[in-house]
Amino acid sequence: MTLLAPLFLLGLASIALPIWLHRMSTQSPKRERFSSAMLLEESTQQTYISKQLQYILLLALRILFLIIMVIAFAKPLITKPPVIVGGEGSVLHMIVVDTSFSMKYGDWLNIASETARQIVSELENEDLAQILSASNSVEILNNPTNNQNELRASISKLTSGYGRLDMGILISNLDRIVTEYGNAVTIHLISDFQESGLPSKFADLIPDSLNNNLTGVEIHTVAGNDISNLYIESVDRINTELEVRVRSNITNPVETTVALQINGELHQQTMETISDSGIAVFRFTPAEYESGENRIEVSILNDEPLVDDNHRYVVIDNTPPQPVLLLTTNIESLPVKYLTAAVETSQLGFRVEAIAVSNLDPRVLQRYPWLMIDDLGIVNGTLAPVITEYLNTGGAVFAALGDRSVTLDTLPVIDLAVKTSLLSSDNSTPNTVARIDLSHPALAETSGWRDINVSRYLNLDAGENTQTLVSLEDGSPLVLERKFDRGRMILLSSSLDNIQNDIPIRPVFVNFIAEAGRYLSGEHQLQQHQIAGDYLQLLQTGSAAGQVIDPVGRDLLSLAETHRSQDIKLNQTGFYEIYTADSENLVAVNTDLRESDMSIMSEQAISAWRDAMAEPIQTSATAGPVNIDQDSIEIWHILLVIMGIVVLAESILGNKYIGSGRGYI
Amino acid sequence: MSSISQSSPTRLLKPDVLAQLSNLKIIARAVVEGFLIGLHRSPLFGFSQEFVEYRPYAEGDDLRFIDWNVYARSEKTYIKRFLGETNSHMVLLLDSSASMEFGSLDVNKFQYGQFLAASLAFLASKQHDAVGCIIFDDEVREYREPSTRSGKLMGVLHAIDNATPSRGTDFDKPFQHFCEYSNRRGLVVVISDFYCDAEEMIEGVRPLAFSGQDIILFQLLDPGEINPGFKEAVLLEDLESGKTVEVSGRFIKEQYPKRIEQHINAIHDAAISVGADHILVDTSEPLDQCLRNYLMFRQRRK
Repeated sequence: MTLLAPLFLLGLASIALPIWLHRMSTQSPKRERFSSAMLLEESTQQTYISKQLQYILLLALRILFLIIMVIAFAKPLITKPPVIVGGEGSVLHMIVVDTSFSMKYGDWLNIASETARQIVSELENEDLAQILSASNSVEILNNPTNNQNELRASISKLTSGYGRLDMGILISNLDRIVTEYGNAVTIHLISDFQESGLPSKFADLIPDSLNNNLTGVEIHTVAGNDISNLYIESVDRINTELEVRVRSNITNPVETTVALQINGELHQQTMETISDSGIAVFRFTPAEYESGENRIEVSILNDEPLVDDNHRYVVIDNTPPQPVLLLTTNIESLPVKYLTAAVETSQLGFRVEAIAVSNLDPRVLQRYPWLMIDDLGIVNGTLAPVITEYLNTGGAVFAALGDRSVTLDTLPVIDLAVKTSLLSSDNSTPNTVARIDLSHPALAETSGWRDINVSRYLNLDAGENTQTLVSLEDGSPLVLERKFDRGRMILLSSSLDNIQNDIPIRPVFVNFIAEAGRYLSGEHQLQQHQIAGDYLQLLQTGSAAGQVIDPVGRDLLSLAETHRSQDIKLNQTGFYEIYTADSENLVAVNTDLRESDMSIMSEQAISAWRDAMAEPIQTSATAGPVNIDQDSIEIWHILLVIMGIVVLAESILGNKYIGSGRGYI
Repeated sequence: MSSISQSSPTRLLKPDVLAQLSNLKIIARAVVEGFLIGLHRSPLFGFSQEFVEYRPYAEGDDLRFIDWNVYARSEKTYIKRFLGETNSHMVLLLDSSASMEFGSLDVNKFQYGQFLAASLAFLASKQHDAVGCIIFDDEVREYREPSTRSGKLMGVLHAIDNATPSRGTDFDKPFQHFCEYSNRRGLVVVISDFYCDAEEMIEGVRPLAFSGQDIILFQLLDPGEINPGFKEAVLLEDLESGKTVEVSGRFIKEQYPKRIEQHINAIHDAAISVGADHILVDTSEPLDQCLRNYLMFRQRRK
């Protein structure tokens, strides 16, 4: 055992403190003067010994506590005994086995495992070996060893998942591992070598460490010549139809049957013949989708070596768009048109209901999750308290300023003072955006603010409760947010008529309205279709906490975990259900299509790869001494547990001791 | 019997009140006079020195006791006889060992013993009895020969007042001393806590009893000795020997009360066996009970 911070051992001197305190307390028991001891008897003698033992034990526990604490601070390391000491000229064999999704094909994984075992059995006496599992990431299954049993046990742990192997990234990762190892290494790469897994540049397949301590890369392919795979390439909703594209890796035409299930019920089954290595399109016409999110599962019913990619999961959201109120003076005005177009284009799930402010019944406001006002100046003294109340009770408002705001000294509802009114002035030099708060949810996904020109606007005096999201070059705010009790308001300090600025016709406008609408309505973006192996961020659902149920119906989070923000690895295909405080969402998880593409590297390509790696191998085959593998493990956390136990024991014993009436501990 | 109230003169009999008085004579006077005032209300008690009968004058009688009124009427000389005439000789034996210093109240046992001894001396003096005293621990520290002379009382009170508790207890010494220096029959009052072997102690008393002395043993015990009240184990230090004994709360609660009762009974039985009186005194109680016991004792011996 070694210590990283041995100076902390000076703390052992603190042991003197409990000893001194115990000594003091032992020397000064409670004494009373009494007239005569004639009638007394030494009656505590019997219990005294056991008490003394307890007392010594208590002292020992306290000293032990201090010792453990001091040692924990000294950061002790336990050095594991060296696995093996390689002699001069020994080599570490890194056996890297592809465990990506494509390795589920037939018995490819078994072949890969068998190949790994073969390599292990052929190891020379002084050579070490290490098993690595390669998929989305590289996992080291054991430390370098020449223990055959350990290596075989590691090989037997190999399983293929749903991840994707990118050969370029793998080589890069192996390069780093080899460089860190620092001694002679031979890599044994066992994979199907899909073309889809190759990097765009061939040079990325050559490890840099070949010029250092990598003595060679041996390629072991598990894929045969006769490969047949069908997989669903896409499922698209086109009007009332569902279009399913199925791709074949089979060199002959093949009759393919595809079935469609909607919400777990078989809806339709169709058969088509796919030409050799071609694509077939299957069309389904579902009668009616249910309201809300629909689970669409498309399956290929053919029997083939890789069946896990025969299913494709899609979520079709059939929720009717919710209405959003647009208050205006003229429902035919340009701002109304621009806002309506932006909301409906953005596929927010809202439809705009424009209404003249003179026709508004204030009681209907609460029906809308948020509302828009094309000119905040149209809000009169009667309506202002109604909208303020709406905001205070959780409503949200997006507003712009138009001609009716020009004459105001203070804006209604938001209660902001107008410093300068440039809305009606003829400012020939347009202002541009100088600063954008991209951390704000309403702006995070937007771009193109720098392209807009603002010639007229109201220079507002943003108070303490108002946050400026976008400001112009002269420092005046262009977009502001004001929070109310439970609601919020986003204000554009210019108009939306494409006269005083060109915002409505710029690409940023649709994005901005979409994000602002999503932010104001409380809707948050959740990617409904994801790839297996990716991570689901619960934050995307609009809530940092929630429960996730995997495709087989298991709760993935414990009750405690549901209160925290979680990133959940999607390691299965199917539908994940996400429940948060205010929403229920479905996420369809499918395999990476590139893993289903069974186009394998040609033999010529592989031999070219081998050749490319051969030359440096000859020049760098200088095997150095093998490291003694001395992994060190920090044991402070173990000490922490022991310390906890000691504290508990001390508390119990001390309490018992006090309870027994000694009173001078 | 009337109860003691704050306005009653007998309130002065309370030990803690007496402790506030600095002069032992004042204390004794306060006790006795307060006590006597209380007695008027009781038919049970009277002075032992009361007139009982006349007898013809005989040669050697003190001329002071001739009733000259009777002589004037009958021309015969008669002597007035008073009860207690034969016991008008009292010696107080006050234990001044270190154990007497124990006290859980304002007044410790020794102070209480001083008050009691002084009161008895004063009471006896008031009855014209000769009063003497022996202050002892493991040795005789002070001896005042009994005398009826008025100045002698002050000497006795002074001896009592000057005593300080220290050292151990040895009852043989004072009793031997008494036997050596006093051969006249009278009353022997022993004031002690009697932390000793009852049999050994009574062996010292026995010669006095055989010589016709009336013996009364006042055993003074503090409430803290009768019921120490320690709930936890405690290290107790003997005031006389300095020896420490660690005792458990359980012993104090269960065993000690039995032992102290056995010891008191042993002293009592031993006293009875030699014809002595044994009076247990709780030092938290007023002194009048002791004086009452003393008078009852005198009445029985009349």
